[in-house]
Amino acid sequence: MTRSRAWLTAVAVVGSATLGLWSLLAWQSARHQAATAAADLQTCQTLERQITLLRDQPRQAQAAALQQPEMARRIEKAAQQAGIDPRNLERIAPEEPRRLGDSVYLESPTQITLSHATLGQVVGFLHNLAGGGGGGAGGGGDLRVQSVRLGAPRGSDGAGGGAGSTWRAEITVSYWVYAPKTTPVVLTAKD
Amino acid sequence: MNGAVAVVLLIEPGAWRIGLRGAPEQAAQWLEVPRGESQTPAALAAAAAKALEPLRYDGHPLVLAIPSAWCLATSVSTADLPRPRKTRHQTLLYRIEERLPLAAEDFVASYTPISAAKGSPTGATHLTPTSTDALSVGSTSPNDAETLGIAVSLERLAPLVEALEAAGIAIGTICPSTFLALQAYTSHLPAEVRVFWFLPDHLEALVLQGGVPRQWMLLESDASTLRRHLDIASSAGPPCVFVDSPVGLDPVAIVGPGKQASAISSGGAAGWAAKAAQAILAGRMTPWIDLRRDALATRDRYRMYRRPLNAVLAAGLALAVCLILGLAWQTHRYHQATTDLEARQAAIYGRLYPGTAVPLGIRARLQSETQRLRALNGQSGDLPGQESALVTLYEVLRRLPTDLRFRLLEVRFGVGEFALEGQTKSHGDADVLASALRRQNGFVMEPTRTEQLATGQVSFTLVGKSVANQEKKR
Repeated sequence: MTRSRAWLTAVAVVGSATLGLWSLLAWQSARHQAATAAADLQTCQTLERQITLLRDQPRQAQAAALQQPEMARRIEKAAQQAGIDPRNLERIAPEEPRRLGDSVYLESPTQITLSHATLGQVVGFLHNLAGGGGGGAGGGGDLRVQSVRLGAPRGSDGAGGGAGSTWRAEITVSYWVYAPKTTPVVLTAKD
Repeated sequence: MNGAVAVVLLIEPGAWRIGLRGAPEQAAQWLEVPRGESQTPAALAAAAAKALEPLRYDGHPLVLAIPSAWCLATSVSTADLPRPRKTRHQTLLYRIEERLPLAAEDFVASYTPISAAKGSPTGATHLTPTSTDALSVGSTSPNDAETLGIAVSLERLAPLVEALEAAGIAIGTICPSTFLALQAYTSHLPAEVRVFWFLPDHLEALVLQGGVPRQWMLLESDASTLRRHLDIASSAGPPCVFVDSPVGLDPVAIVGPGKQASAISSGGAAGWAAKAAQAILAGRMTPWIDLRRDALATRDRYRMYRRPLNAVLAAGLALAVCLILGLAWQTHRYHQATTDLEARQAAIYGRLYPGTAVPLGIRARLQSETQRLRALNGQSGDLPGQESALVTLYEVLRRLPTDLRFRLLEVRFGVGEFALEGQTKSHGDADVLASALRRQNGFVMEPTRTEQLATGQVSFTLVGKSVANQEKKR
């Protein structure tokens, strides 16, 4: 065998071996990709069904904080539906949201003050606000009555006595906002 | 001749013969190579190839037995040889060159096995060149380890070997015919012996030490030359053995009394050379001398297996190509399948979020979305309880007795807890209120605080916590 033929043979052998190895690696990679894609598709199909179901279920938390006008609108509407004179809706005071423990939720409370409202009106108002009023309060069951304080209206000597007596109601309602913690980016001197 | 296998190409003065493989105890068969007018190496090689045709020669290597007269022999010291094999060989070549009238690049040389070489027990024997064209130079230092170097001029041998190879006759081994014959015949000889082998046109004198030749020279096969040679040789040397001595010559008588000598008949050196060639080709014997090396080395060591090797190589390459193509096809199909599966994932995303751009990691995006929806729906596990103060208000109001007169001044409702402040007619009425709130597994009440007022009424404070809330906290 001449030197050139030997070289040619060696090149052919090495070349085919290299090409074969590359083909094998490419084949393995493609097979892995296909298997991953198949598994992903199966997962996606399952997730599609879950998402469809979850979308139809009532929300317990907001995806984002309600804007102040929206909140006020809902409170006013609930009061109106409960027959409370708008003038007796004394105060709407949203507070700063605070994180619920170590959870993914923020609690956003709002203080509402009503005056000269009958117990029935207060209960109706709370019921409407909490979503029990057939969606009249804005369609959400997401507002939660946190506390209710009923007392004698300012300037009077007492309240309870009869069905027509009026109260001053200090109500705290809140809703939850889904807000997962984001990992803070720490900038160093290098950055 | 059908079925006969050639083993040796014997070159003799004026004739070429091809030795055929035979049974161990059978005399060798020979095939004469007809020679034309042209004596060029190419013509001779062509004639040999033609002679091999009836044997259906398959290209297997033959032993080329060359005439002794083509060779130059010299004993060389093996003292202080380097250990690496290649360097040792090169050193020996230089030592051989020092004793030959040829430059190292003009000859190819081989030497008898070194491991058996020992100092000459017979002492120095300076043997003069004879009338033949072979040259033998004796050892100058009898106690040194030494070997017998055999060299052949490349000018003489190379064209012939090339012509034979070109004619399709593979040459595996090149060895002087006498060495072939002696190696096969050595089992009939003592290990230390002086051999005189009578050939048709000359006499070859060899000294064997440890069964291996250490000296070699060519003599004329007449009584006077033999007598003169024996006179020069040491009288205390090993026994002399005369092989195939011609009729009319009594070499034992020439040796004279007091020296060990014997005469034997081998049946012909050529026959033993053929046996040795057969053994060499069968791998049963390693020739003492093989001049198929260095400049005369086979260019392709695997030429005997070249055709099957090529076939195997071609088959391997074809297999590799088939494998590569198969893998490429499979890879293509996997890519197609991946594309199809990813399109189906994109379709799912499109159904869920129509009109939005499809992200890269659809599965991760959907998983994230599922997690978000679970959290929004309160299924994430870490959402606090859904209790409302409105429920507490309802539970308290529905338990308050309707047949008891009392007055509420301030009420506070929290999630699962409450506090009532008011007035009633008596301390007992306050307890009735507390009892009413406890019933039906309602509230766990703190002790009722009451106070008689100046107006005659009794003020009270009732604080309670719902049983369910208490149990949950517990």
